[in-house]
Amino acid sequence: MAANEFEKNVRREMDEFKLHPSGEVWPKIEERIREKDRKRRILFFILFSSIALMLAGYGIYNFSGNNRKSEAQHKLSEDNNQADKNKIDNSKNEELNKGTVAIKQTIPLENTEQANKTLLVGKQKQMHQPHKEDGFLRPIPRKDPGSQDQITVNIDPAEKENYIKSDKTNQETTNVSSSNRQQVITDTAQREVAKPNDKNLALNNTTGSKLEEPTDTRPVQVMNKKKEDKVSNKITWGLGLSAGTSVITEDAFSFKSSYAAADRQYNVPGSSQNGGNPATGGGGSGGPTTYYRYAQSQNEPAFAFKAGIHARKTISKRSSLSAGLGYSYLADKIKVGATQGQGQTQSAFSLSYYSGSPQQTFTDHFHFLEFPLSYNWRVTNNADHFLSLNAGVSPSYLLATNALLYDTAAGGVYYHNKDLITRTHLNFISGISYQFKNKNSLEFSIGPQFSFDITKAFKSDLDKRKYFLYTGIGASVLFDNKKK
Amino acid sequence: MDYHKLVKDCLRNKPEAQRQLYEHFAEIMLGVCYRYTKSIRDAEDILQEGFVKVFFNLKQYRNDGELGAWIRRIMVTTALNFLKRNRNYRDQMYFPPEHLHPVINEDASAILEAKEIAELIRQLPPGYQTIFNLHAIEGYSHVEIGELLGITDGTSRSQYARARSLLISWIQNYSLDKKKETYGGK
Repeated sequence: MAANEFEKNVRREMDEFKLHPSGEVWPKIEERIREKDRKRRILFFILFSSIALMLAGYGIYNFSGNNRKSEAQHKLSEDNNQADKNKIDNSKNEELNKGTVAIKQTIPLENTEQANKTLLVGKQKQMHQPHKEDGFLRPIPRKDPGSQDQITVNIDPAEKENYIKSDKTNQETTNVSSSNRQQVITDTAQREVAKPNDKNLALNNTTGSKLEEPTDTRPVQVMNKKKEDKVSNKITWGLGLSAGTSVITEDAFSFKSSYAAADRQYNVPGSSQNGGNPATGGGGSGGPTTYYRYAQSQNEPAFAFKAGIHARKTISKRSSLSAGLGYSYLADKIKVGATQGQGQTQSAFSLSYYSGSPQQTFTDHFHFLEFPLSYNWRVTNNADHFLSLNAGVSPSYLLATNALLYDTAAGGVYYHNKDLITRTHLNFISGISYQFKNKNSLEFSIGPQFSFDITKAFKSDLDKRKYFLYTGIGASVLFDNKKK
Repeated sequence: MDYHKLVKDCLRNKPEAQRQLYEHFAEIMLGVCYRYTKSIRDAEDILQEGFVKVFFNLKQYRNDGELGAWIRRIMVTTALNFLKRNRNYRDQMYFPPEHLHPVINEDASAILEAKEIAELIRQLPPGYQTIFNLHAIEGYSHVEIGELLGITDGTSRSQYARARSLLISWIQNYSLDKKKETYGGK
């Protein structure tokens, strides 16, 4: 019993045993907690950026490939007359078509004579058509992407005439044999085309495509696609409006408001300041002075909105650039004490100031003029309604504000000093939007928008708030003059 | 205090709630950490490490148990890890096989204050100190202590008995000295 009594007593005494930790412990704990959050945010940011970059790279890669083809096609069209133009278009379309499928023609034995005749008239066709060896398609050397121009310039007008004649013959022949013709589609022959040094390549391709027309509608589809892919160089204008919330965060890339301790009195031992206590008075006499100070209030998000006009220029079938001019209203809420009037104390605070005690909510208003510039990339395939990723920068200029800054003087106060507020800012902007067109050539978009300021809001280090963050839902309308 | 709400707010990373949780438990937990160490600085290091673990693992806390007990367990585990990691303690944490020491039943602890008992516990050699804390105060069984420290339960028992008798003799001496001081040596 007595043995247990000893343990009981010790345990009871120890349960009540308390020690007051020093003031250094909590800041260290807090720092480590925030550090983890920060790492998580940075990781998320890097991940998001990487994905965005990969998507953008993929888009740009695809765009640049299509653009080269369009230019080559355009050159061909210019170099040839109208009759040739249609054929060459077909030819080029067939080439594009080979990007997805290759068509092999096999001619039955009973039509061998006719087929041979056809092949003799246009012997180049032999080079163009895939060879059959042991039942397998023989690979044809890969075409050099840059060789299309060479093909175009090597067309001899005299040969062109011959080609037209031979093409007519081919057409006749084809009409006879087309009913018996079989088409074999193979994916393995993707992008396999004739040698680039064959100057009659375009002509052969043309005859080849002529053969396919009666039964295969794909060239027509490709032509339609080409029309759709054609990049419009014109600039479209639009109006945009966005509403949401803004806050001034403490950390870079943070989605949280400043976590300055909220509405709390701090006991600050051993301070040499003479500010004393606005509420409860200073410490006792002798030894280090103990006094109370109001820490900076935690700020809270407040309603904010943006409005403006912008111009958009399409730079590829999937991407566009937007630039604009807009007005931006940002705000955040803090808690301040009673106003201390003008000229009572603190010459540093040129105008009236507020005590640090958290008695009332004060809204800081910021009015900006901004110049957003963004890159928009269409994620989905459908051109009429699609998702778009937007990212860019937006320089802005602060037109006016009533913002209060925090200062530790006089036990913690809030004051206004326009010289300590940064005027020019640079923001990162990004967003996702759903865009769709209506019959009246209006294009609408709606989606979440984010804007993060990388310029410090205040020049004073005593105020913990640093970067503006805006999140909201944006909507815009673009006026497209193109008649459908 | 509504611990349920406090934990919920901490999980939402609300700074006020996190600070409130810390302030509520910091003193008692520093008392726990203090008993395992030889200096207040080490105790504060353990406290800091322990609270970081508490905040990072708070989602694992289920509201069916007492929050203080859950935090205390984390502090004790953190303290043991600290002792194993820290060379100053690790080198002194040897557990030689000893014969069971006769138990002294005299209850001298009743006349001492918590702080004084804590100071005496801290003067025990680290091995004794740890086992005494774990068994007498935290309530771990010798089997559990054996698992925690990687020793046999028999070693834990013998170490505990030795620590206990040492502590009781110190308490007796200390209380005698205290009486002398109080009554002017009469």
